[in-house]
Amino acid sequence: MTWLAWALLWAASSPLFRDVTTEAGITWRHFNGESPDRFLVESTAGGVAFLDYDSDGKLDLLFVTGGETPRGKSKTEVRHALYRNLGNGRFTDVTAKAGLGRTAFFGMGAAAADFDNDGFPDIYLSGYPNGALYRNNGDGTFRDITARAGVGNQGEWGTSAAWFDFNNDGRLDLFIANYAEFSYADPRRCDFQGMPTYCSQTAYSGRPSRLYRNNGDGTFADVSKAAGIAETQARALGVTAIDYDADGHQDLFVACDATPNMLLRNKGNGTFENVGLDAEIAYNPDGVARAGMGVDAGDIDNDGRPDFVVTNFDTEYHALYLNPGRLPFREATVQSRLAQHTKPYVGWGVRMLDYDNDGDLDLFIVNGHLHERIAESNRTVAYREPPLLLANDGSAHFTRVDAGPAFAKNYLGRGLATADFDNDGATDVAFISLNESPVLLHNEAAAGRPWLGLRLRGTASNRDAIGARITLQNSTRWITGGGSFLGSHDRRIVFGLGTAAQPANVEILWPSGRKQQVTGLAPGRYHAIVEPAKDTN
Amino acid sequence: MQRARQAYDLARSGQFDAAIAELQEACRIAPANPLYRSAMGGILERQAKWESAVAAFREAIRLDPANPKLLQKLESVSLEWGAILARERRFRAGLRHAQQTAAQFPNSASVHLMLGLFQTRNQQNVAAVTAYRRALSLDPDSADASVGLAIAQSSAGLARDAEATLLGGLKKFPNDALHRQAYGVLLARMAESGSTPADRAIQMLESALAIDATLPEAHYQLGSLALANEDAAAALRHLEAAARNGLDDARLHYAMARALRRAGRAEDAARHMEAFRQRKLAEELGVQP
Repeated sequence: MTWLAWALLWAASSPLFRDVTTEAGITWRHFNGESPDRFLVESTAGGVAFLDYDSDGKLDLLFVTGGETPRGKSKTEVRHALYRNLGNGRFTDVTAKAGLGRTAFFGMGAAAADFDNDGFPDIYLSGYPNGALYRNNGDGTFRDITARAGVGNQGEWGTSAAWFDFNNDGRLDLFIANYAEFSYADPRRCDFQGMPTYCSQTAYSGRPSRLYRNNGDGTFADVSKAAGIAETQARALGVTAIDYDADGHQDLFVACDATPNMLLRNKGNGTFENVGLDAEIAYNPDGVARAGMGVDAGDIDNDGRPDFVVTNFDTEYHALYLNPGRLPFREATVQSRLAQHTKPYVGWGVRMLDYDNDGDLDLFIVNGHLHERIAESNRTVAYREPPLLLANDGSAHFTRVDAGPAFAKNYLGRGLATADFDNDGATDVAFISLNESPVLLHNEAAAGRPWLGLRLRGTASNRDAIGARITLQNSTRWITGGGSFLGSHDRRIVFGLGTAAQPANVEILWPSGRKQQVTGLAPGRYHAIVEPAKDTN
Repeated sequence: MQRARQAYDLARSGQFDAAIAELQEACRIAPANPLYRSAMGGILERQAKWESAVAAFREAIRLDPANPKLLQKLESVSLEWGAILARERRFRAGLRHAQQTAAQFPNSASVHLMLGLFQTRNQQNVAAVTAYRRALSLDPDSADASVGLAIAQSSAGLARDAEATLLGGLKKFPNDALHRQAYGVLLARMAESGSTPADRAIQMLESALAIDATLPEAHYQLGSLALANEDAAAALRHLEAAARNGLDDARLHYAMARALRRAGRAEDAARHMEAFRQRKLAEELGVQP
């Protein structure tokens, strides 16, 4: 065999994403408290966050467990896990030292951000019947400041959460998606052909989500009512914050489970208006509210405007909404072939990422059903389901990619987060499989492809620069709040440069409204960019 | 016997409660006499108290298992009661009722049709395929069984089987518009996931309308397909035809609102969106708008 033949064979057989969970030293397992009561909360848990908790430039990993339920007990300790990135492909468990292991509630998701602008990311953990805010002490430890901060979300079943600056005061506020009325004291009994199963979501009434305004002194004010968020009675599971209409105010897309999805337009006066119906993202074309789980935002069709993808239940298709710059959005689920690729799957975590650094945003989706006996109802649907990598041709048409052995395996996928954990310019992925070990996938598809990385630091804007829009030639990216399902992500932006390994110029629109142009950025590395005191040209 | 006659006389004069009381007393005195149960079933049937009528006839048959008239009566009231449960969207109760009835009438095509319907509505799609297949084997001339089987197969993820069933049905019932409509709907779903061109769905739905132009579902589906292609004028034409032919549900008003918005008729669109909201609310509350 010739050298070239060997090379081609190697290229054809090497995975695009390689499962490195074991070699990274990750041994934690998720626990969901599965019980004969079949509490719905058991079926929806599993959060994951990438965050650089020690600000050493390497992304660490936080996994969020569920918890025990009245009859769903664990024989081993049930805890969350924080893994410190050692920088050599390995992680070490620092949970105990960090003080994050145990919480007094059933855990759902995580949202990490530097809410106090001190240079260290803090963590909000959502769950039932409350959540918790942990302040990063900057010395490798965290302190539970929930009570003082006033963000407990008491009595609620919180799911995904998003940090974003809704009032442009330079401080990150917190939106918590709340799911439904729920109590361990009131189990709902359902069966499938005589076997206990999870009741449909419609057996549980939706709840309003919550918005907490950051007061800047370590406390927050619940402004849900004043902002109009308290009117949003829905089964909310996913949220992403982005300025969809380019009016300078961060909006929210909330994915909801068999209640209409919401597009909460920030009116810029402290209030939000749900324009989901006008945007035609609330219902499917037959006027049916799909089972929305995860949501993410980004420019899929390279027109400079943010589009949205929402994961849904099997036979509903995961949905793609293209933003034409006015309402309504154009649903391109069928035309993009997303319907074709996602029909049998129940989707949860979803991210738009440029996996091969060709300049287009692709889709990574994790799936997994709720009902163990679903195949007895639909022969094309399975309980355990594979993740999907869908490659974008640049005009919002997707092709399913066989990305390696991890994509031939089936999981009970839930939370999903992305980050470049080894700083090689290729976006990696971590996700939770319910009641099992998590999965860490190293991206090997982008190796050798030119890229440019940016780490933004706000000054007038929030330090994490959540809400910033960055343009490089025809590519536009946003630093979004929230995104995916129960996940939190690398805040850095990576531009895939295709084949052009040339110094690049970028234009940044900061959340404060300041504009900045940065020229001559060398490819193949991350650049730290600080918000200027005034517009720069 | 005397009490039965008295009860019938009372029932004939509209005194149903008195008639039932008379028969209850008769049953207490002669609990092994199927006649009183049968008579009670008959009166309850006249009162349209179908669930109680079913119970009364079941009890009569327990006492007189081989009586063909009683069996015929029970089958007939059971189907009536099943139809009411379906109309009231009481699908779980309907499934229990249909399973019990199918156990009693294993050779009735109509009963297996009812069972298949409730199984589909309870997401027991694979079981529904079996029920409809049984119905079709008992009555090969039943177009309803053929269409029901195809719908169950499609819901069970067996799209190719569903297509084969409908193609077979079209050969057997070439002028059955409902077969064509069902096949058109299946093709439309298959087109969404890229397994067939949308044109096939359009042609099949149009052929259904060529046989019966009043089929609201075929009009709705054609309207939806036009809307997906951003052809607001064609969408409105079909959706208005669906409405003229009796379709008045939430999805129709939602589609109308979207089509009218695209046609620049904002006020009409708002009116249909409001109708959509009302129907969605009614659906959630389980009441008629």
